[in-house]
Amino acid sequence: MIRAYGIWGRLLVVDLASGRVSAESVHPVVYRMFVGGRGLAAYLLWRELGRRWREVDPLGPENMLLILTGPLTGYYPGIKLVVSGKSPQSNGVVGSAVSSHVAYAIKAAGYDGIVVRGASRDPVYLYVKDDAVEIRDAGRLWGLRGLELIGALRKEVGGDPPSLYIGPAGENLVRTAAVMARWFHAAGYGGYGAVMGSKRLKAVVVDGTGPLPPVADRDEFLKLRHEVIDKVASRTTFRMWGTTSGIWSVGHDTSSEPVRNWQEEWHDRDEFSHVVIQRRHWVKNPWADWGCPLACMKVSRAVVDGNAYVTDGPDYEMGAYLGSDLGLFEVDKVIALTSLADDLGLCGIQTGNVLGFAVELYDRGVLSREDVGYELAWGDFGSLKRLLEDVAYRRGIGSFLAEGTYRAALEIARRKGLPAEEVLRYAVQVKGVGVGAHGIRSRRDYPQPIAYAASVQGGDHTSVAGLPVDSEESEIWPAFLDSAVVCMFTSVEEATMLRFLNAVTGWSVTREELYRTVGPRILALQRVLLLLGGPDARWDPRVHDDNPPRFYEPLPTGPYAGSAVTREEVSRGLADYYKQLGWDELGVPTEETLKRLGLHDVVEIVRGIRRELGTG
Amino acid sequence: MMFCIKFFGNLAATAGPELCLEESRCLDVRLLVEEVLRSAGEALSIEEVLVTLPDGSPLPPGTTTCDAEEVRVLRLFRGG
Amino acid sequence: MSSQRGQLWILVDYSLCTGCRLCEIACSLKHEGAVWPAASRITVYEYYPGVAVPHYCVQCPDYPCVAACPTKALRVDQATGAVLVDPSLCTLCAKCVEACPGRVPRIVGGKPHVLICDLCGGDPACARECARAGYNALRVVRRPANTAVKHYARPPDLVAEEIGGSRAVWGWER
Repeated sequence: MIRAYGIWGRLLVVDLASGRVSAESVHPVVYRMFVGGRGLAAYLLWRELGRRWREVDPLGPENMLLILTGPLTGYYPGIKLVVSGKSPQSNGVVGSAVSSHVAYAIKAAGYDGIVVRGASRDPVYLYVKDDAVEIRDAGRLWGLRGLELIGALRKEVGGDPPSLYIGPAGENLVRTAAVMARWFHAAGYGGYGAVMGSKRLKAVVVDGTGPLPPVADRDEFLKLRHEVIDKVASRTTFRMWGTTSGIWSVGHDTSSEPVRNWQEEWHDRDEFSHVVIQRRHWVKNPWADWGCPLACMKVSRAVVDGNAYVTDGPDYEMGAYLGSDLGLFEVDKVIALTSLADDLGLCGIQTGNVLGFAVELYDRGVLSREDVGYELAWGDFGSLKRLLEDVAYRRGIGSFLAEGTYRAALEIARRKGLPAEEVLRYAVQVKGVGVGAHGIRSRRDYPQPIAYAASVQGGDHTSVAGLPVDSEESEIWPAFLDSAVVCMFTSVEEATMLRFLNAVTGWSVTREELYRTVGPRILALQRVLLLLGGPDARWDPRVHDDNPPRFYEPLPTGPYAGSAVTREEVSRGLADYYKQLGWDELGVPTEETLKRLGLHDVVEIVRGIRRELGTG
Repeated sequence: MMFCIKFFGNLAATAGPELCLEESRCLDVRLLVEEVLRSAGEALSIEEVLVTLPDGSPLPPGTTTCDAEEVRVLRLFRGG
Repeated sequence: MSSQRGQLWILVDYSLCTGCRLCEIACSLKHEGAVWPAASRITVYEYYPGVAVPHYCVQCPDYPCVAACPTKALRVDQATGAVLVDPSLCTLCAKCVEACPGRVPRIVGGKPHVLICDLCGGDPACARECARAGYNALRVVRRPANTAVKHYARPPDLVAEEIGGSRAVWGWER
């Protein structure tokens, strides 16, 4: 038996179909190969479902809902948890990171993660109190929104243990539904709220009371911990402003913020600024999640039409996607929409993306008043609020907007008898995942021209691809952070991150190994599962390893007006990126690469992919 | 003494991939990097970039252009 | 020497507490050598978003817990003013918890005795970590002569109600 540090090597496995609960050992070598979190998710999903991946319905009982920590969870300052499974958005694997106390609680209960299989017939919630695990009736909880649910759960279990939950959106299998964490945190990318809903699992409550597993080198760990706290705590401006500052600067200064469904990426609206929000709406700042010396969160409150709304920030993504992308520049109303999205259990990014798409189609006359049932207009709070709720409850037009931008575009094209491309040209998504609120046209923000086209998580702005591969610019870096399971905002330079990992685990992962082996292994497996896709969506790299059409249109306004990415630089970048990762010209990992990475059992299925593409 | 700054990602697209200076004086590296970014029109403060030694290890506080031959400069926040 | 510094006390500013729990982590690392939030002698409760309530022993002038202990497992450290637990005498009877107006002493699985803040012998790790992170919600001061310090000993849910409920800014029920 190899002694493991920083992890237990044990997962809690819950089968909701049979009601059976068990613990499963995971060999330390698996962690050494895949680290944990997102990497472990890819490994588990491949092992369990890989050979029949294409037939697995993400919203069917066969899919697994994974709730995973990593070796750095609970030790490294800041907190994150990874939610995963077969994604109902990308039909591949998305490691969806969320701030949640559940992360340390899982470890304190003696597990590295929770695997949920099967589906329950009736609504249930999972209650974990250390070794005692119960699948409990959630009949009275089903249908509740976030805030009501938190109150009801407290009465159910007593005390205030950490929880994950879904709102009405997840229950209604909305593909833009998030797995929520108290109160305003969302694992949004991937659509795992719908996966949780398909299992009729309303909540996961984890009361872990034990110690976290021992670390390998205690002195080094304690020293590094303080080193990191000191570094992170000195990010004074970020602490004061959080990501909210982006609602002004990402638009005004770097021209990369979605405005009216990405028709523009620049704005000059003085009222749309974190400074205005700071003065008018922040009632608690700084506000921090568990173990975090950065405190980028803020509690904001606004009263709109006599109703009080409370949310975090709003952070930049919410400000952009439930604000400027919808042509809404009134910050009190942005706070209201954000608070509503939290309460309904919607991912604000994906839902904002599909709302902006719908308003543009309405603007262009593709969708009519008859289709929607009411008028849609940029910045019109009343109709936007109504549309948000219609998506969560799948009412009227919400029933197919709830499928997310990509699938909604195909459905609208079908209903209107239009060629799919005519509608998809307004869909700002990559491989079923709406693009996060950081554009690529101005080149003044962080994502490179291939950021989304080459990402194994599609439009996920927290997992972008880039060159060179052996640097924090490539997707290896976010894959590493999501596998060690730490927050990107508290991360520091790579050498210190690796020292931290090694101090906790007793491993000796080098920079070379991270960029040559560990990172590429996780990405290769995610890439293969993404290319397998199915059953309802499949991706052809020649078509879908690409930007949304809009990103090739020159920016119309702002200091970078005229900027766009060119198809040449994208195809050149993709070719270079694939080559550096040991993938073929279409981005399929070569046999040699798979073998070098120890992914021998993936070789056969990849031969099939290559045959289908006519390259093997 | 020759001192070089290597920019990564989009910073390389705007500030250029590498900037080398022949300086007789010892300049604070972080202040220098900030000045270069500002003059390249980047809306970034030093808090928002990572400055590391070539092997990815942290740049000790107060490092000057006389203490190091080369540094890497990357955007710190890749998300948000 | 702590005796030369006199008795000390941890002063809380609720408005500065970010709810980060670095204090819990620091406490458990110091006392248990592990990240073990449940065994921390300080706990932060947050029933309303942003209303964080650090909860720990405030050394009531009359020490009702010490008086209530039937096995004499609790005594007052004259140097710091902290309540010290003798693990060999504690039977986990919970009489101290019942006697405490804040129900502060903790009983947690895996620990054979009750857990009460010992002020780290004069250098509380929680306050040190809070300052390190730049939050300064917990400040180490000389023990106040003002006997109202005992008013801080109150169950955390009631403290949260007082803070959250009294500030109209929150505006909605939890």
